[in-house]
Amino acid sequence: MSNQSFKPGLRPFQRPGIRIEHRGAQALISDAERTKVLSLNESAAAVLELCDGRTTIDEMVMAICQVASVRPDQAREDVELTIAKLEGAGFVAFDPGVGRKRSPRPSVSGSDL
Amino acid sequence: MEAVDVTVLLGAGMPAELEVLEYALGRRRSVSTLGWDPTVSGTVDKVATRKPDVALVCADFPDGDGITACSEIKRHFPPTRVIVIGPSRDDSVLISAVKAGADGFVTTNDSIDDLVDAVHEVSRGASHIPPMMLGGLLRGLIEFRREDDGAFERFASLGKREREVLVGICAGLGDQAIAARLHLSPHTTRTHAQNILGKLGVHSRVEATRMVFEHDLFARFGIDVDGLAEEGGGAK
Repeated sequence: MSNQSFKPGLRPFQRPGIRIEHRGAQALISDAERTKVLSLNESAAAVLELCDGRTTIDEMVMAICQVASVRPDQAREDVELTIAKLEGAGFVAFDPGVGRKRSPRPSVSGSDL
Repeated sequence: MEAVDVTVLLGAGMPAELEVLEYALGRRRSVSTLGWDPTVSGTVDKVATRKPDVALVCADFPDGDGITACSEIKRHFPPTRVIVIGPSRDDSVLISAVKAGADGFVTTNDSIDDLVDAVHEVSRGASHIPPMMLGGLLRGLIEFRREDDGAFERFASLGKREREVLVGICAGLGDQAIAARLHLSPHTTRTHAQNILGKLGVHSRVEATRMVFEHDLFARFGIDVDGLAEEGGGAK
């Protein structure tokens, strides 16, 4: 269970100058100054590619469910964890005017999604 | 992870490609080939009779394409898993394959080992997408969904008479024929047609027809178009 729980409609965007280098099943992500490097699996790298400031987390989740045999709640948790990790590493940001997290809730069931 | 024997049927446009694939796969103990066919219709027929676990279809066929083959197999034989083999530099083939229900996609640059891995992955119920193409695929699916939502909303703004006129347009009927069918004057029919194009946000009747069929709008709005194909020769 993700403890992030981002607000619906949130549109993360990549910081300028991010470079994504595909290496087999992994991808190396580096910042504009090449001072920070992060190794991600290709699913996480695909999520980063979708962070364009226009695409919502909901849209990412729906597209992933169309491609992979995964439940929407599982896909959401994976996407939110990935975005939280990318935000923490400084590769992704949110519009500063938008509060990014939901109020904490005890649990999420499939029927909530 | 190649212990389980998976049965495979091959479909592609070139017999030489198929023979090479069949030979290469035949050397793997974990995969059994049930034959091949160089046409879409023949591939679909063989899937019906031989019931493979996985159908491997190339993007090019002389009588259609791998996407059509994929869509036909998934519609008529849902338990059969389908892998489309297509180009690595063109996301559009991959996006079309996934929209047609493909369970996996392998590029023409991938090795036989990659293909065998993909066969085993999809036979276990997972999907297989080349990692480097995943971002482009997700982007394409998101763009299509946005277009789809937009088309749905624009169609919903059409009035009852406009929808009836649009059915005639999509059947390939001219203004006179539509007017006669709906007991309208040709002038009124033309006015409806202009309003339809404006509301749908398209510039021509051809674009309007493409939008309707690409997004399956008549079916989604419960509009029956049976019989119009013969009348106008345009609709399917």
